[in-house]
Amino acid sequence: MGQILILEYPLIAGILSSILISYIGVYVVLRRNIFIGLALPQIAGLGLATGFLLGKSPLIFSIIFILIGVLYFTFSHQNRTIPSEAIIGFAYVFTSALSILFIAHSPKGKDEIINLLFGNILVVSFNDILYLLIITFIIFLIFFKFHRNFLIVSYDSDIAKIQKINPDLWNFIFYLLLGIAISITIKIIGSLLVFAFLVIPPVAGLMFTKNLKNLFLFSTLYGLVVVIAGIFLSFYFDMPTGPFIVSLLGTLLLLFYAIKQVTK
Amino acid sequence: MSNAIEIKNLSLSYGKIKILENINFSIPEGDFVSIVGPNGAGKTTLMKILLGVIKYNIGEVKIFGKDVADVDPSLIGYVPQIKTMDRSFPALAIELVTSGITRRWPWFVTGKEKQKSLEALTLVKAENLANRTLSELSGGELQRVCLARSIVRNPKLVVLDEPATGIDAIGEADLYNLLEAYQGKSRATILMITHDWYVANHHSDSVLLLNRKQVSFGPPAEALSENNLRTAFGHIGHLHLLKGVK
Repeated sequence: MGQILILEYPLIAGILSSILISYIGVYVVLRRNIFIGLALPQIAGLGLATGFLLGKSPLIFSIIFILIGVLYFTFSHQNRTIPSEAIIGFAYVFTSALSILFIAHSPKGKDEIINLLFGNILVVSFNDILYLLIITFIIFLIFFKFHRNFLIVSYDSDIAKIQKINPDLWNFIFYLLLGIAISITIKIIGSLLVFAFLVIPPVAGLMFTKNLKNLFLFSTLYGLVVVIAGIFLSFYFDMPTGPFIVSLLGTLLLLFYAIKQVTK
Repeated sequence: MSNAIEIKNLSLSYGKIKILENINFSIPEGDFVSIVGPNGAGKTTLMKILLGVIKYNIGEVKIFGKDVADVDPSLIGYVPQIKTMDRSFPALAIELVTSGITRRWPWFVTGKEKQKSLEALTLVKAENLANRTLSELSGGELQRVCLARSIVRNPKLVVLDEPATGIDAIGEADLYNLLEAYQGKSRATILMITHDWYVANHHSDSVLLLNRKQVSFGPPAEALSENNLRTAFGHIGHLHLLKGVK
């Protein structure tokens, strides 16, 4: 019983993070913006590293950096001479390198790099959970209210314009919500797990579902089940939680793929 | 009869490049009009101006007497080129149609909205496709589903961007028959972009022949005259396919 109580906060934080990110991940995959899901966590990570370096709030810096990244990605597609994938790739590699440099001379540099990559879900505080809960609630409220706008903008910007839905505005709002979700979860579950939740549950959903509603439900449920199983199993086997969950997500995806091929 | 579309002195330039120059025409409500022209003639640009997707520099564009920006979007149905569509998008045909009718899509669709979507699919003879995913549809089937999506709110103007692209001859013939049947029933105005002089000649009340400038506008036999086609296309190798052209 005592062991389960130790896991109470990590479990709640893991559940909220996985639900939030796996749900938004469906949009990321549908928009074919998967590498934005890789670059934004790194930009948030650079914000955290800058906070550590300056001895200020890493979360505030993470949100400021994400806002800059969101603006950059929203309007970078208007540049027709450089492919947007190249711009995203540049952002990813540049911010990753800077993050490592910023914390290289910190007394706890190595630990912080590991935390940046994998988070530290086992030391999550009550305040972390409270922020996460509020942000998750607000983001879901916005997505439920404007679901159609986000989907139509993802699918065809011309149809969006005909329907008087401004693609630039809704793309900005989407990236902003994605950025905020990443900023709040990266500190808890790390950039690798954030990216894993953004991509793997929606991809698994695409293998087994035929319509949009089921895709969102499958993806969210898949993230939820894996995070609960991952936290308990990693604790039981005394393994690092973040990498364990990523491995579990990946292993199950491969298993699903094999089942799909066999039953085809 | 009032006009569905009215264009006066419309011009569009990007920097020094003139895309459209001095376009003038009006389309009465209920007409079937084709826009014909070679590649790069500005057909799609003109269509996007009419749909409010692209802003124009000079002139006046009115849809049902209102400025493009002020038109109620429910009055306009749009069928994009199917080759530009993402076929891997995980949606059922009925979901795509329903997306044209409710703001609560796809989470909270009422029985009435679903029924209306099924009626639109039935109207284009695609009710059997309702529960198929977009990736499972052939080009012709997808085109019919897109047509159902565009008419689900009973628009007064339906705009089609090269609807025959990517579908076979039978699918193409079916599509034009469906369009004419729908127009006869609803009295909606149909505006279609096509490369095909033959199709424009046989299905339209009027034709706009375009090559950056307005070459001609009027009944097909006049608008698609040999001289006009020569002006628009430079050569008219397939003119023999046209019947009734002066």
